[in-house]
Amino acid sequence: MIIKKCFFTFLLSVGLLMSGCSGRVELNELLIVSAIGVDIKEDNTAVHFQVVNAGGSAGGQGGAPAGASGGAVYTYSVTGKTVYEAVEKASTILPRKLLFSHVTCIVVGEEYARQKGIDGLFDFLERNHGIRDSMLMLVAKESTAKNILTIYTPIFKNPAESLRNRVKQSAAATGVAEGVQEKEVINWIHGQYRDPVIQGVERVEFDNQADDTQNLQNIDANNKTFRITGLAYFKKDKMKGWYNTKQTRGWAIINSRAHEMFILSHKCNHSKGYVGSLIKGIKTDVTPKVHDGQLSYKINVKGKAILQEVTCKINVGSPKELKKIEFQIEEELTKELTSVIDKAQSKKLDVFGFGKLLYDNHPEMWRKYKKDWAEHFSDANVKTTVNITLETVGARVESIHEQ
Amino acid sequence: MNHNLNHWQLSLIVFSFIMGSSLLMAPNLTSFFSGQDAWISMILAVIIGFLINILWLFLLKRYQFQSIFALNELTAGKIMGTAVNITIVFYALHLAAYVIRNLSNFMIANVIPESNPWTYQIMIILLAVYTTYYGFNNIARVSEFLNPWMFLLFIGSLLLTINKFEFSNLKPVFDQKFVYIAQGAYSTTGFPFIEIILLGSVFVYVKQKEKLTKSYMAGLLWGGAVLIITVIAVVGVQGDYMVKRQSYPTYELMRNISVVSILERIEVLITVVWIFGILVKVVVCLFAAVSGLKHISGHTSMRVFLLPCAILIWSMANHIHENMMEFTDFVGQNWTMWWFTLYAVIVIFLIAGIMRGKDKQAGT
Amino acid sequence: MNNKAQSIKYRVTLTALWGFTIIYTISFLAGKQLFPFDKWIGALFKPVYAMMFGG
Repeated sequence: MIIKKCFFTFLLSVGLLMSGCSGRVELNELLIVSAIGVDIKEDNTAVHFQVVNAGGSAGGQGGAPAGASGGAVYTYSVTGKTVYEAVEKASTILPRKLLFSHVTCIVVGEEYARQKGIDGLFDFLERNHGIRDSMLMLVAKESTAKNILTIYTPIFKNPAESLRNRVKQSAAATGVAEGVQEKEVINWIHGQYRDPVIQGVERVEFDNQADDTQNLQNIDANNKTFRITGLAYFKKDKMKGWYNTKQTRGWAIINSRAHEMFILSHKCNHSKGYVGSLIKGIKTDVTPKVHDGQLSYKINVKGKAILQEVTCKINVGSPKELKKIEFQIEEELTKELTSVIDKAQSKKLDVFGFGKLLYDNHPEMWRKYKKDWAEHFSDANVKTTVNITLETVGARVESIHEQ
Repeated sequence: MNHNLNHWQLSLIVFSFIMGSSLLMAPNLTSFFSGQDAWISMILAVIIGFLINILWLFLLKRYQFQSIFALNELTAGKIMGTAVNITIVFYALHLAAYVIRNLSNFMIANVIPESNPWTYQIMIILLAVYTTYYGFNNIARVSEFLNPWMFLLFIGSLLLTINKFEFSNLKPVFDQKFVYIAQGAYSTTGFPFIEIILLGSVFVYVKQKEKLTKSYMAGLLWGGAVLIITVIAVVGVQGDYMVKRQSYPTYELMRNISVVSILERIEVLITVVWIFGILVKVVVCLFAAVSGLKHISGHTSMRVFLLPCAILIWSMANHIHENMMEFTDFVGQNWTMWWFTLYAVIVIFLIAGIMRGKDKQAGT
Repeated sequence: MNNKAQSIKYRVTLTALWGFTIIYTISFLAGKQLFPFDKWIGALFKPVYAMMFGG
């Protein structure tokens, strides 16, 4: 009886422990993909996988190249009719099995986004169990995804990680905090009748040597880094054009994406120079209104400013002057807002989710307008009010320019 | 074989049963029909489930909480009673097969696509058989130990998603037609609020019978509340368009967790909660099946029936549907009605029995 | 007498259970659907579902 019991316990415990090994794939059989690039190639889809070379990324700290074990990453390119076909084709040239769990971003070439549209990518990305919907989407501005993915970056051994950090770092300049994620784009296009925008990326200085690890020895960093540009706007899944930096910031404010932001207001009343400040705690409130069949939106922006730099002759110590600075910041922000609204309305692309807002608050009106929403959107009356309070002036009161 | 359990353990079992396997499915089942109003559907389902179960318990109380198998024979007569009992056994095995299929579907689709579904099926069936072999008291004590951890994991995971919550995803409220809201409620009423009548085979072992109704309903309401919160969180974070298309939305919700880049990729924790719920459910089903067979056969022990039942559950789990979509489609359309039929048959017999004064004979 | 009747009942139940299990498992392993329960249940409830929610 005891033997029988022991045997049963043994069987059960071995079974429980060993069943964990079912379907296992060891680490040395995997090739970790850190970024995916997509380009158009004679009507087909060229997919680039930037994969991590574990040996190359581990050796040598502080950004020094790894030498013997090769580069930290390599980029493979394959062409297929669809993304999945490319992935399958890739198995003939790859040394290991692709692991998609750690993809940080997907870069789409501008040509591809304009001609083919990004809808073709999503199904594979969503259906794959490893890929996270929260990965970043970027459009390679006036360039191909391959150009973005074949570059060795200093400081960060992994260019994809470098790219992701760049997106976070640039939040104060572009306003778009946390970038634009894949699932947002899908939800915008298909869930909310909204036209999406995606952040752009470009090389700061194009240099063919950037795809060589030797180039990392060179102190000049500008030829091996990216720049996060303005937003690319889309009509549904087809790319239509670019917003400039101002418009991008306007978009971010209207969508409550801007948490903090730099601003430089010109015109120091009567003297030369500029006033620069950092705006924090930006809160945006958009309310739709329907009055006599006329659609109007009220955009209310609130925020706090911190003075960063004064290069002209104003009396920072006087509260009256501060009010003037406040007013200038507000004017500057209003310009950014109206600039993007005008552009969106003239192109008839609802990039702000105004349709969804109308649906949230007046569903019956939305059903009426839904059919030709683009027309109604471009006819809508949009009012903006910006309210900024300048709270602190920084570590100095009086500026050297005052004398 | 110790089957005894106290009223606290009963509450926990009910809670695990309700929350367990519905945790990953409920948002999709409701949202598929009622969009952003899924949470209203869920509340409706909990209310209906509450009413169904309160009637059920009220009737059983009149019969001093005898085993449902004995009651069926008492109220419906020997032959009809046995027929109903065989049906209950079939329902229990059928449900266990579905729950297990659901588990292996999930593992294959979302966690380890390279592995074989049989691994998960056989392991959980073995565990359930092992538990039932030593009596129902085992699972009661295990759930007493594990439930606080499960609750902690669940609440913890949910709190971590709060920073992504957006009210606009739930707006406009009550925009969907009532038919769709009702349809969403329909599919989540049967699964899990009617299925739980299988626990009727366990009541006879609960020690303090006077506290039974209260603790049972408490477990049911807690489970229901957790499901409502889950639906609100899932739809609020992801938006109904995404939820509608996901096979396991709660799991996808947890994939969104990203707090200061340390707390990332912890979605599998919610699977632990879910799998424990599945274990409880399978054990309840298996126990109901073997105790039903024990009653039918008049045998002294229920252990002999475990092996054939386990094999049957396993082959049913694999064989009853060819693919996942057939499975989901079937559950969405027929499941509630299928279980409600069983519920209605037993309840009608019980009411008829009370009218004929049979409840006085019970337990004497 | 009573014991004997019980043991007959027991044997019948156990044999029936094993019998069904074996038949079902063989049908599963052979890939033949002998008991399409889902089809039967579906056929039973389809009209009711259609009546409630319009198909």
